[in-house]
Amino acid sequence: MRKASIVNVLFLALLLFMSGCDQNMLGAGYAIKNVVAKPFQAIGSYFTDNAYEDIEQKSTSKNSIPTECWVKRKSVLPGMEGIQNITDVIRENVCSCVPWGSCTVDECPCSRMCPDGFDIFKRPGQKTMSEFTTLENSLSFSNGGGGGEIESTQGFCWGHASVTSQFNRLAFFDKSAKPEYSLNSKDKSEQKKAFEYYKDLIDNVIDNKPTKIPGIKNLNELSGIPGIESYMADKVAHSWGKRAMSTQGLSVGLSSSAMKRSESEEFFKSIKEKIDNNQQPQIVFTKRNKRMITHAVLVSDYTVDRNGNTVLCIRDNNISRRRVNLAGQSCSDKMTIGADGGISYSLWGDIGGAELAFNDNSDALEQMRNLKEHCDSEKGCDQ
Amino acid sequence: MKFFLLLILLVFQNTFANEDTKKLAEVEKIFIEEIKKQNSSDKDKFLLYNLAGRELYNYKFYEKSKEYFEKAIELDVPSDKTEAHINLIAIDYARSKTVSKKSYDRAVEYFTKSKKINDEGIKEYLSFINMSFFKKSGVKNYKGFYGEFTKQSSIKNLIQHEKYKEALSLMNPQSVKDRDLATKLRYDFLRSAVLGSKKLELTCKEKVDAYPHSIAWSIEACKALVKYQSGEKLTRKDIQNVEKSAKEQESSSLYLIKKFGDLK
Repeated sequence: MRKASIVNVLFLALLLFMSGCDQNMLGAGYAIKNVVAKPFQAIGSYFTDNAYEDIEQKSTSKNSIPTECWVKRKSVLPGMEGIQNITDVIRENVCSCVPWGSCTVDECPCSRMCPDGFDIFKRPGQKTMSEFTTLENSLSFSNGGGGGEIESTQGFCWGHASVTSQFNRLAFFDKSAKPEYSLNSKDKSEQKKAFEYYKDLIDNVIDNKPTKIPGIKNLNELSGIPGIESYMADKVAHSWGKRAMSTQGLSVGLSSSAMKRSESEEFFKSIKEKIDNNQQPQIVFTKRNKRMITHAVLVSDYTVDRNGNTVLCIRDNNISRRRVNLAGQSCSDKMTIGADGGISYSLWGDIGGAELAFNDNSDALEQMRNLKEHCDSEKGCDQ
Repeated sequence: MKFFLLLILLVFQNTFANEDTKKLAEVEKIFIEEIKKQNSSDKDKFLLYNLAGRELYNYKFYEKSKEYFEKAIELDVPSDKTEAHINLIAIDYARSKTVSKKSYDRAVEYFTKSKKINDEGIKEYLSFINMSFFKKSGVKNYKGFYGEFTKQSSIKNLIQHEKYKEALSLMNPQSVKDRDLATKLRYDFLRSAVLGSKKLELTCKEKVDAYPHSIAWSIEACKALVKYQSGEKLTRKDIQNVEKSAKEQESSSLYLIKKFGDLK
C-alpha cells in the first residue's frame, strides 16, 4: 500500500510534468544533459522539481485560504432550538471554515477544508510558519553541536531536520484520545505492546503518511519517552544516511565557494516561496572555503530588515533545546546576503554553497497528496 | 467471521499490489517508450536511466532505482557513471543500513579505471564508506559532514572490542547533555567502564527519575548503571534483565548492553 502511494505520487509528478511542458521526454533528457553528466554540479531532480513548480504556480495564482475564518453553523431543526441554545452556551455557534477546520461538509465546502495544493499544510489559527519553531514541535534531543568547528557538524543534521519536518506536517497529536495500548499501563505486557504501537505510528510518519498519535501531547513529549526516544534517534540517523550518502548529498559538501549575488538572491527567493507556501524547507549548506563542513537545517520563516533585505530565520538542530522557542520568536539565528553577494549565517559566519535539500520537493509532493487524501477521508469529502 | 475479514483484507492487499505493479509499469513505460520512439543512442539511454534512477531514489523506490542505475552502468558509453555508482552504495544503506563490499569494490574499480579516484570529493567519499563499513581499525577521519557517522561506527566497534578508553575519548562531553538517551547511556557506560564505581553523576538518571515505571530497555540499562555507581555490584540477573528487554525491544544498542558484565 505504501509503495502504491509512492508510485502514485511519482506518476502524478511525471504526468504533471508531461502535461505542463513539452511532451517530448527525450527532448527533456537532452535539456538536462549537463545536469546528469556533471554530478557534482547542480544536481537536480528535474521531473520532481518541475512538478513542484507546476503546483506552486497553481497555488499562488488563486486566492490563498486563510487559517482563521469562522462561519455560523447551519440553523437547527424546528423544535430543537432549546437544545441548540444549551449547546451554544457550551460551544459557540460557529465553526472554523479553514484547512483542517472544525466545520462539517454541510457548513463549509470541502475545497476550503481539504484544499488542493500547498494550503493543505496550513493548520487552523496558525499565522506564521515560525509558530512551528517551538520546543513542543521539536524533537526532545538536539542534533549535537558544542565545541569547535568540527563539532559544529556533529550529529545527523539532515535526518534531524527531515524527521522534524515530517512530524510537523503529518503527525496529529491528541493527548485526550485513548491509544490502543498505554505506555503508562501497570501491566508490563501492555507497555510492551504500546512500544510497538507507537513505533508503528512513527514508521508511518517517516513514510510520509499523515498519522494520528493519540495519548501524546506533541512531538517533544513523544520523542522524549524512553524506548521511543532511541527509536526516533535511530530514524534520524538512518534518514541522514539516505540523504547524505547519495550523490546529491556529496555534491553539496563540495560546494564551498561563495555564491554569486544572483545565485544567492535566487536561492533566497525560492526559500521565501516555500515559506509562503506553508512549508519550513530543509536547506543544506557548506562553510565557505571549507569543503565537507556541511550542515542541514530548517528555515523557520523570513523577515525583511530596515533596508528592505530578506533575512532567513533558521531553525538549527544543533542549538540547545532551551533556545528553540527564542529562535522561533525572535529570528535570532539568521541568514543574510552579504556585501560580496555571498550568504552569511549568524552561527557560522560566511558560507559557501547553499541549496534546497534534494528531498524537499519530492517529500512535499508526497506529503501534500497524502494529507489531502487523509483530510478528505476525515471530513467525509471523499464520498 | 475473522476468516472472512482476513479474506477481504487479502483481496484488498492484492488489489493494491496489482495497482502498484501496474502504476510502476506505466512509469517505466514512459521512459522506455520515449527511448524507443526517438531511436535514441546509448548515450541518450544512459541519461534517461540515470534520471529514472534518481527520481525513483527520491521517492524511496530503492529496488527500482537500483535497477535503473544498474542499467546505466551496464551501457558501454564513455559518460560519467559517478552518480550511478555512488547512489548504488546509498541504496544499499537505505535498504539494509549497511553497504555491500561488492558495491564498494565495483565503485572503486570504476573510479580507479576512470582516474576519478584522484578527485578530492570521490576520494573523501570512498574513504568515508571504507572507514565506516569495512576498515575496523587504524587511523580514521572524523571531520566534517561524514565524520560523525564514521565516529559512531568506530565507537561501536571499539566497545565491541572492549577498548573503552579509546571509545570514550571519541565522545564530546559538552554535547551529551542535550542528546538522546541512547547517546547518554553510551557515555555513562563508557565513563563507568573506564573510571569504575565512583559515585559518578550519570546523564541518563534524569530520565529514570521522570519515568521510574517504564520498562524501556534504556531505563532498565540506566537503572543498572545507577546501581553500579551507588557502589553495588551488578548481579548476573541484573545484566540478564537489561539484555532481555533490549533484545525484546529490538534495540540497536544491544552491543552496548552485552558489555555491562565488564562493569566490575
